[in-house]
Amino acid sequence: MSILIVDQNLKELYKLKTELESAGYDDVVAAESVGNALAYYGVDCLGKVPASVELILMDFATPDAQESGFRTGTRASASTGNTVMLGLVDQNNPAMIKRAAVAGAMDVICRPVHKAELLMRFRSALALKAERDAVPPAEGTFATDSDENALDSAQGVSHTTKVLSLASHELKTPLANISGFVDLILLDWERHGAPSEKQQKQMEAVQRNGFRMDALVNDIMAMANIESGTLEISPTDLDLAEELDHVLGYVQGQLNEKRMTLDLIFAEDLSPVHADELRLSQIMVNLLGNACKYSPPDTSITVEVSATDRFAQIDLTDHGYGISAKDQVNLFCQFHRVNNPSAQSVSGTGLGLFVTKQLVEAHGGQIWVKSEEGEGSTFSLTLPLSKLAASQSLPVEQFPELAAAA
Amino acid sequence: MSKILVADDEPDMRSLLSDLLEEAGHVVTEAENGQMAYHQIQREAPDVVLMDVLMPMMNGIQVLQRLRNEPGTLNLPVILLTAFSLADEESEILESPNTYHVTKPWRRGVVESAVNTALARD
Repeated sequence: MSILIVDQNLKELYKLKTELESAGYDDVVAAESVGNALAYYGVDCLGKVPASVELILMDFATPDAQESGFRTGTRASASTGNTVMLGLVDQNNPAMIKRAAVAGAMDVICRPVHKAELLMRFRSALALKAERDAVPPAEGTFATDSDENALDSAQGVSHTTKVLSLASHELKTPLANISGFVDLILLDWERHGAPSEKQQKQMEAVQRNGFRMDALVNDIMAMANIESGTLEISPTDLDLAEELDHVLGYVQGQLNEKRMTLDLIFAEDLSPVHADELRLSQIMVNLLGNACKYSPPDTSITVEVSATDRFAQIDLTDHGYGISAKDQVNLFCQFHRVNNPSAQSVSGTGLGLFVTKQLVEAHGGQIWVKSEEGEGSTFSLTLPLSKLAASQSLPVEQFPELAAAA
Repeated sequence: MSKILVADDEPDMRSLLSDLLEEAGHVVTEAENGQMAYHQIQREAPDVVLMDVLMPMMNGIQVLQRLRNEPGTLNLPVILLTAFSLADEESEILESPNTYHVTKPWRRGVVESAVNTALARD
């Protein structure tokens, strides 16, 4: 059995090697960089080191420990079970701990390293590995799972958040199957005629509820991300008209159910927005879903899109029950539900607007509401326009943050 | 008419994708894990691969990595399916040419048009 230590601090490197050897680990390879270790084994990524290397102790301050080739290589190896990795990190350095977790480290040892602790961590890592090797992997996701565990313990994420996030992921697959098959059936009926109008209506109800459940799962997952500080958005340039048209597909069923109409008004020559497509859809599904839920039947909703210098503004106006001044104060808070007699029978989690606000703000936008009880509400939000469009219309120097990003 | 390989460990998801793509006029074969997908790609040379990211034996990212390391499959169009955003997958392999991404559940027509886009770029 062989152990590999990668540590750019030579003094520490040899101290660790000596300590391990004196504890009976007889084959300890010491390398001062990932590059050196790879050269030693004659491989091009850590994932390919010989299976005899059972454990890698990795100093995450080593410059080439951050390169992606190393990262993906190690992840590949962690999932096939050849080796386990422990990260050597500075105490109170969450960024380094996160780096170790992302790279697939099973555990971290914090500096200053105490011999007893080092040996204990080694023993438990190797015991876990032996246990893992004895059981054939049921899922190909071992590396990802252990990353998440490491991340969680590093960041103190609550157990409930983790359970919610896992449960939501697991709900997604059956939901995708349900809505996929329902859509195939509806498509077939569109082409060849439904067996009956009644069945058409029933199948549409299945679809509508699938969408509702999906929206709920998205909010719970976003909530888990917000709580653990891992909410990430990946923005691209999007055509708002096209996106809103897609979103409409999700809420059309809800609108039809209450015989409500929706008008879309777009400013001319609207530039693309810079937003995460899935998040944008989530934001709009939440707001349109609410407009629908908190309005009486046979009313209308208007969505108006305009633009300022750097932001697109979306105003969503309904003619629903409206929100009292008192409720407006806490409207975007977690688990807050409006206290309106006409809206009391409306079900909900109190997550939607909280999540929506966080998502809008994660894009650099803002969200606010104007409402009169009994008159209806207007929810307004802004999203950044594409950087390309913004830099064309105004000199970049005016926006230091844009210049820095470019 | 194109040859498409569908790789997913969920039998229902496999048959959903097969139904969908056969309806659109393609010929579909199925693989139930990453390793099988990888071997079937070598053997069957599909025009497009539709692959779940979370799969046993070898996950979708790992299969993609192998494909992009070999001249024969360097530019094979691959559509990755996930139940979540790929934002936390930091692998640069996702940026490799002819690599696409569809989120589950998808809107009507999204899978078909992703396949068409992938075929057009091939």
